[in-house]
Amino acid sequence: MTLRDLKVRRVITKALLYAVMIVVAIYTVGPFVWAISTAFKGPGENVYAFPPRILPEEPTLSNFVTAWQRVPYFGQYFINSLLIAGGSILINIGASSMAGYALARLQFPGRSLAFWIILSTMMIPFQVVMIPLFLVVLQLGLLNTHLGVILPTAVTAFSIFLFRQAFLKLPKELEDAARIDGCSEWGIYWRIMLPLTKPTIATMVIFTFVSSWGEFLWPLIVLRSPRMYTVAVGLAYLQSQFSANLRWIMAGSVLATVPVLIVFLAFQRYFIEGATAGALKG
Amino acid sequence: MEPHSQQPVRTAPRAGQARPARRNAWRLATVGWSFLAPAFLLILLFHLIPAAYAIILSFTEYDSISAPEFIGFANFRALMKDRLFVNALKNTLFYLLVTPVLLVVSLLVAVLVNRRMLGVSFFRVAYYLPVVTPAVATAIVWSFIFRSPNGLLNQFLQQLPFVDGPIHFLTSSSLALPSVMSVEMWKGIGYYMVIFLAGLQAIPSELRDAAVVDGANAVQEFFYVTLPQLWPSITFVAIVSSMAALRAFDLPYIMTGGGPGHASETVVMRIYTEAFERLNIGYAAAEGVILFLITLGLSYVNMRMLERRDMT
Amino acid sequence: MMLNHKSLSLALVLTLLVVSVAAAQTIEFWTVDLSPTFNDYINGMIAEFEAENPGVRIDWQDVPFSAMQQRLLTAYAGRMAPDVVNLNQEMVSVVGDGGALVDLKQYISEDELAQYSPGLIEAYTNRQGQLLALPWYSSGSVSFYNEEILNRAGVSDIPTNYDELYETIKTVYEKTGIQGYFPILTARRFIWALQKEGIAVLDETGTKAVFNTPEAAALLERARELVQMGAIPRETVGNEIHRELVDLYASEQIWNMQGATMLPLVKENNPRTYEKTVVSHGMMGKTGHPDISSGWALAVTTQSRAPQVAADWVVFVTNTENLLRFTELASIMPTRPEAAELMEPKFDDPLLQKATELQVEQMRIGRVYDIIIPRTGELFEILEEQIVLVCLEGKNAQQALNEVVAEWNRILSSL
Repeated sequence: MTLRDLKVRRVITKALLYAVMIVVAIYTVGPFVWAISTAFKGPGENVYAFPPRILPEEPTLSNFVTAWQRVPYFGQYFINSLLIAGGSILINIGASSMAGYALARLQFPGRSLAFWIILSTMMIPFQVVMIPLFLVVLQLGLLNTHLGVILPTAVTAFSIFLFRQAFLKLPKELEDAARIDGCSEWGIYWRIMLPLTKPTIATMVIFTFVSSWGEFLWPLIVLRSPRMYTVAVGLAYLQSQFSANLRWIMAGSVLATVPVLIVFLAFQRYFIEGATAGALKG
Repeated sequence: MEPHSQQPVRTAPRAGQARPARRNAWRLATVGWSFLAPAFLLILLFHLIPAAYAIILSFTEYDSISAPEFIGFANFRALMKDRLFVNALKNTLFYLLVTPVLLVVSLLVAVLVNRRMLGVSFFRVAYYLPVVTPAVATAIVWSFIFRSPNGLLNQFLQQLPFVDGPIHFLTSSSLALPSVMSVEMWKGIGYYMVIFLAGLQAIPSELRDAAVVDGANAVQEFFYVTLPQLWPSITFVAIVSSMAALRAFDLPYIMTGGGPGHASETVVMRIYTEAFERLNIGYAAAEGVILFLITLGLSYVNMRMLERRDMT
Repeated sequence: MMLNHKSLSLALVLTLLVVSVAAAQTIEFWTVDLSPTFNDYINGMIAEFEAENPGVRIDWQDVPFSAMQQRLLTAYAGRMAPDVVNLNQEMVSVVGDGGALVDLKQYISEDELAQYSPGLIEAYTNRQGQLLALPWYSSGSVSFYNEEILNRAGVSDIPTNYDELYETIKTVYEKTGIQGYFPILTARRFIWALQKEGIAVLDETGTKAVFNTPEAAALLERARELVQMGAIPRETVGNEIHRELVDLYASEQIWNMQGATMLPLVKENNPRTYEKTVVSHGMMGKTGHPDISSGWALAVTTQSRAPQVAADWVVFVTNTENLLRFTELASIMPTRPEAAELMEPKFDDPLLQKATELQVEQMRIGRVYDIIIPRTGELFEILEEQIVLVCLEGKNAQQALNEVVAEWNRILSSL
């Protein structure tokens, strides 16, 4: 095989890879493109045309304006949702990474049992615990507070489990070296191990943000003041017995998606091959 | 290959300092549990206590208005004869088929976008978009795609020579559930892709370089380096996604409402109906307990099979 | 720092103020889906009521329909249910079964109650004779059509009963390929349709189901035929698909629909379809009595600490004056005949105007067809399942109805 053959082969492989990626992208993005294009369409357009028309015939921003205006306190809802998401992220990453670290790298009595107990909380559907959970929140005096929205979902078995798996993968030598250097347990976790799980932290930021951003039912159950509601609750105002405009719903949905995408874009850069690998050389 | 310890690490005693074993054990317990404490406290308050209360409720008749009334195992006995519950259970187990497909596809997608190449951020966002699309929008778009006879997919299929008559994706008993599951996959790929991407970052590039030097091709590299290194993530996704499948509610609820008839009704939808539309909260809790036991059993088997190497 | 007299008295006044505010009666008031459309209207009523009743404060919370049931039941479990809650007939019968709602007859005088439409009062009275909610707003039945499509199909007569509707849907589909809406395919609508066609649902005692007649089976067979030939959307079988129907109508994929409150939604979604739309009276059935929707009502919960004040607020919201104001904002029907007579609908939109006028007329000749039975949800689920089996799976309609009636009677007799 000559060098040129090799080059040609590489080009072909690359082209094939891109082709596969584009096909998958059409599958995942297609529905969203339709949603965006609907959000920009004028009232006279048939949004259900076949083949679907991506470019609006009567492009307009009015759907966004109306969606924004129709939802009472929509701006406030964005701030509320950001606060709730921010709080959840801090608590989740702090507490879950510590727990995940303990479950993966520390030996202590009851560890396996604790792991299974934590894991088992993922196996109970929310609909079953909703009423009991509400009673707990009520007892703790968290009714009508954002803390009442944040705390019940702040730490989940999901995130503890994810951190556990991340810590499991780290080489033992690092830890041993630190211990020989006289590092405290906290120091090993905080200074040596946690920084190595940056991709997992990024994952948790992304996931926690998405899940608390999309919360609809729980905020409605805990909160009593409409001003404290979240973006997802706001979206529901666009679809009711007195209002059901497809374009407004889509415009509202697109608006609600923007912050989540920004967070994703900002944190996905931690998923670059070799970004943290260097540190592992120890 | 360098055996990276999958084993939880024992605190190494400092050289020349033999401590009394009991004091050491006590120290280990203190350290371990204090790391666990903050999370465990929150889990206890907001997950375990409500769950325990729900289990108690499963032995009662309760409508949220009057106090619960203890009725022993009556709910569970009634469940065994409840045709709708059994049907929902079957649908839920069928829903599990989403898991292996999701696992494989999202892993492949993650490997595809785990490289420095032109437009990689774009593709990642593209695959992740379904995760962040609000439920309302998801339901509207996919209902339009699946609608018969005038849905997008049917209009497209109609152009093909070998398709006659519209296919009732969401409105026939045989296709409703698989159609909803396909949307679940659409939504799940990006989600689990992120987990795998995070997992892939922890694979030291030296390992790959070594494999390349040894003359391994991409496929060999994937099977001999990537896959074993990624095992904790694979375990995680397998377990978590099967739990999610067993808890399926949102998508079938907004897309078919469980219909036609009860053809796409899952256990959690049944729980929802019993609890909040019939006020049989004790009964719904009993359904939840059964689902919990099934999930627990399955997760245990999963864990045993997948985590041979890092369970001690 | 020393406190002088002035600041001391100021503190005293402030304390008194706080105490008196705390002592004020707060009425928690939940509505469904009325915000933001009617914010000004409801806030206006609240201001007026609070001015008339010093010391009373109304805490209004609007809840999206999809979360109402869960929010309400969790609140009950926490012993903090709202004082007044906005529910429809189905929800009243479910929550009322559990003893969650007070009998309003204890708090509202007979004279006052006589002001409301008797049929609507009946729809919210349980079998023990307790009035569990006061009807707030309703709607008469109005149908609307895409005239252009009807012209294309050469149809000139507007159908008034289900036989005619069946024929028209068939004709339009055969001529144009456009589907129609046949409104009998949910349990609730099926029960309404039967009664409009003069078929009894329950016997005179109201405790035994008797609707497995050949006429009822024939009606269901017709629906099945329409579904099987593709003339009506399969999505409408067993589902109350509200937004989707608006969508289908607005995008001209179906040619008919009903409900005056839907008209503005069609207009919002597609003004061009709206221009082609004409309104007409609702489905009369063979009896000539169209349906009146039991609509939405206001109930006082048993957990209210001030049921009398709560009941006063409910009466205030549904008094003639406030109902009349409501009718100016939306094409809804007042639940007091007096208000219906005083109504002078003045909508700029001619179609909405016509629809409202038609509704006023239909309120006079219509009937409320909701049936009062315990465990409605469960019974309707059984009926709906069989409707689906008949229409989508080709099950024999008579056999299906026989099974439904047998199952209903088994449950009803066990109570």
